[in-house]
Amino acid sequence: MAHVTELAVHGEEVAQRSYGVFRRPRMSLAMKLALALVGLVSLVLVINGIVSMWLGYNEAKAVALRVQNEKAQSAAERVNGFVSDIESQIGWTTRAEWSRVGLEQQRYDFIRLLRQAPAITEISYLDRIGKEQLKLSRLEPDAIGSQKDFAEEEKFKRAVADKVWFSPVYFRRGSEPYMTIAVAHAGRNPGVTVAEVNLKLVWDVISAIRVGEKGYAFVVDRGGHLIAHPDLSLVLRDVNLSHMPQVAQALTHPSEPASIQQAAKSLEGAEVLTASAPIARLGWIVLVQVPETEALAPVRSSLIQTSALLALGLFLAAVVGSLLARRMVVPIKRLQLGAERLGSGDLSQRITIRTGDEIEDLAKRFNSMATRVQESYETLEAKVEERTTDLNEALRQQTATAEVLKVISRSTFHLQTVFETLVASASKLCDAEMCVILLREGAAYAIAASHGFSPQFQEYARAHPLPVGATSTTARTASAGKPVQVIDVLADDSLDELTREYQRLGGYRTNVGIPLLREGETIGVFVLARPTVRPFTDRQIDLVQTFADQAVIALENVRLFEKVEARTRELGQSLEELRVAQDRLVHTEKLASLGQLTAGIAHEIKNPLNFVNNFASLSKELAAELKELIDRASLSETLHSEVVEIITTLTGNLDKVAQHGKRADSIVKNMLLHSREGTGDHRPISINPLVEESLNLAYHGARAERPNFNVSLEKDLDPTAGEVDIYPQEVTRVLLNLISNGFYASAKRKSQLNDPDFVPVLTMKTRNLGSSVEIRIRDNGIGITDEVREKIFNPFFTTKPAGEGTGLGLSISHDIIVKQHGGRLDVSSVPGSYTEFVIILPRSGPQLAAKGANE
Amino acid sequence: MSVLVLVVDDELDVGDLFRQQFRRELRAGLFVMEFAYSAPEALARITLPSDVNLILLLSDINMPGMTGLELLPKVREIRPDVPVVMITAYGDADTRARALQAGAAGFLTKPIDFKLLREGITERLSSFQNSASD
Repeated sequence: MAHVTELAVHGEEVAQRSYGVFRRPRMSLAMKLALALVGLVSLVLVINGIVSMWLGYNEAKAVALRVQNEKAQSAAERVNGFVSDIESQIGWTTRAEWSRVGLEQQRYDFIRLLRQAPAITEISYLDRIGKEQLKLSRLEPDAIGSQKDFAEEEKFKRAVADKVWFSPVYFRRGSEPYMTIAVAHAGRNPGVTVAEVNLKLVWDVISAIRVGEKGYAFVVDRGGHLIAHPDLSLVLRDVNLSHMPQVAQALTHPSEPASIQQAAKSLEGAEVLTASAPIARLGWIVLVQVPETEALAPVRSSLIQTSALLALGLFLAAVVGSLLARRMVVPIKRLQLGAERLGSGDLSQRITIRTGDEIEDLAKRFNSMATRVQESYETLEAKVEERTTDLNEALRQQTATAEVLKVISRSTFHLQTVFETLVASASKLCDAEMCVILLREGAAYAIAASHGFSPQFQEYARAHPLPVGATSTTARTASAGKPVQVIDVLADDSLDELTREYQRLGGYRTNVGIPLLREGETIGVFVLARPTVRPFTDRQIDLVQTFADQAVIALENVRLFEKVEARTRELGQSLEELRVAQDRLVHTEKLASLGQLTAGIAHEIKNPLNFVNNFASLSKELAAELKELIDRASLSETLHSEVVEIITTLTGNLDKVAQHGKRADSIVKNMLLHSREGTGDHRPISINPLVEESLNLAYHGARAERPNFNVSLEKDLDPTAGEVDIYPQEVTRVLLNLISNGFYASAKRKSQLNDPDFVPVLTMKTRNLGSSVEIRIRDNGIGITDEVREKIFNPFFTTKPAGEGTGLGLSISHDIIVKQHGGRLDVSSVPGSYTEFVIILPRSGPQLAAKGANE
Repeated sequence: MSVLVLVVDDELDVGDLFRQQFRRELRAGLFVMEFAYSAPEALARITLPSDVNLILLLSDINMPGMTGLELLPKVREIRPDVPVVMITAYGDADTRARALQAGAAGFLTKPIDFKLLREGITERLSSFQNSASD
């Protein structure tokens, strides 16, 4: 079971390796559960927090803006009220009849006005043409009837046109904001009352506005110019704020009595919430701004609160989650441990879980499974043991078989070694005391190899092979062609004498025979035997079958090997023969070209030779004529005798010239004949001179070739041989060939014998046979065997060393005599004594042969 | 009017040989012998008008340029009345057959058998004289 665990661990490693790319951290079940719980709780809390914070933020913003708006509104109202108040105060002096009252009265009214309206610093009356009639100031002495002309100034023109005119704000003494208010009088051709109003009061109103800690208000006019601001320096610098988004928005929508601004940046650069309210009469706008941080302070505190709640929720969820998970995971863990122990082979282990849920069921299943595994494991062990025994047995047999095969392959061609190995191994492996291989030899089976038999048995069996028809197990197996087992040989009554004797000497009781089959035929029997009655199992018989097959293979190998060897030898021989034949062909080719050369030379010599001969005989005639003339001439005796003597010597010399010329001519003729040139037609010719000529030619040829050659020539020529119609040069060729063969054979015998008394003899005979002529050529040479004689006329067959003979001579001779002349060429020989060739030529052979060929 | 035997052979010594062999006949004025050393020369000789009667033409076969066998039909054409005898060192059947087929009156192999030739000439001479006297 250990290997199972290993496998599992290994599998896990593989799994981890294969997931390596995604590298997922391993996490316990408890961890996962706790994480899920915490995740869920925190998700809910976070969503809740975000929603409530969003709502709180919006609300806080709205509240802040509302407060600011209110402040702005009230500031706007107060400024408005202030201006309206001043305007109505001025109204005192603007009645229609006011211009007609007396100057003192007017002055009085102005003083009263100044008294009642402390904000007015200076007041003046412009008459209907814009000339200043009266001017009262808190700072300067009164001016009455100054007649200063203001007709072209705005304060006059605009007031006349619009009834009321408010000037832009301006500053006196560097810091006090002022505004001119001009009011036209009622009635026709009105004058105008102009009041210079100190706006410090407006300032005070604006500066007094405080929102939260840092929030404040400021006022801009229609053009975005700062009119009032807690920081006076900004106002004095006449800052234009129209570029600020909140100011721009308020300017574009001045009609909205109290618009709520979105967050924007303040002059200081902080995020601010701004509310605005317009002062309708003056076209001014009051803006109240509060830093956003301040406005949203409540929101932040609520955020902190929510976060705290979230943290608390997470903590609680984590605690509760891990508690729950632990509770669930502990039994699973126990289950896992139990399974691991089961896996590691501890089958007695049982898992105890009392949770009352599915996990407990699972544990129970595990336990029952473990019980079953334990049971099957126990039976498996028994089976494994049994199988191991079988396998060991098989292994032992395989090893032995392999050993046998090794021996066989090592000694492929030593059948005895192979057989002995086979019988020894078979008897060992099959638990048989005796084993034998019998091979069929003729009609009986003889022992080829045996093991465990006594020498007496072996000796007897060798002397008495088992005949095919015997009743022995061997013979039965052979005839059945399949394994035959005899449980008890003694129990068989049908045994013949020989078999009984075998049994007696061998002492076996149970035996089994396996046939050695080659292509369905029994070539032997493999027999196993035991001295006690104990049958062989099927398995043992199967095993012997293998051994029997090996024996057949070994036999077959040897047979094939021998076949191959024989074939190789044959091929080698053919190759050698071919090589020799090739050499001969080359030689023949050389001879042929030599023949052509010879013919050419012979022709060239022949013509001059003719002249030599002709002139020699002519000169002889002339010498004879000269002698006649000398005889008739009257010369002195001595002179005559001297001349005659010279002529006689000259004639003798000319005879010699003619004689040697004829000799040379004869040689040339023979050369031409031999080269198969010259006259190639058949004609009747005397056979004896032809034979003699051939003999001479051959003899001189041989002498020329080997100077120390000698042979005794004997001739027995029939004078009645007469003429035969033949191709003379062809027959000469045959004769030359046969004669030189005879010279060769006799010379060879002489050199073999190394006997100085031995005389080589060549005999030529001719005989008249009536319609044909017989020529015999006999030598006392080495002779030829019957075997050689069979092949002697085959082309390229020769007994001479390569290069010496063409192997064509006798073949061509045979063709010439038999085919060309219709004759016969026979040979008879006694090796070491003689060889005789017999030629029989019909007298009119060529005609017959030509006729035969035509027909 | 003398009779003429023309011998055609490229060997110069043939002239001497023939003249010496037939010295008696020539001395007796039985016939005249002339020699041509090539086939064209022979043709020129027989084409020319002559005061001699050509009774026989002996020609070698093996000659450089035009051979005797080539000469034979031309002579037969110009002088069908003159017998032509071929002389050659190649006495093979084929050459002999070709020569006879082309109209040769005889065929002699070298070395020339002068006895035979003398007989032939005598015979030809007598038959000519017979026909002339008739």
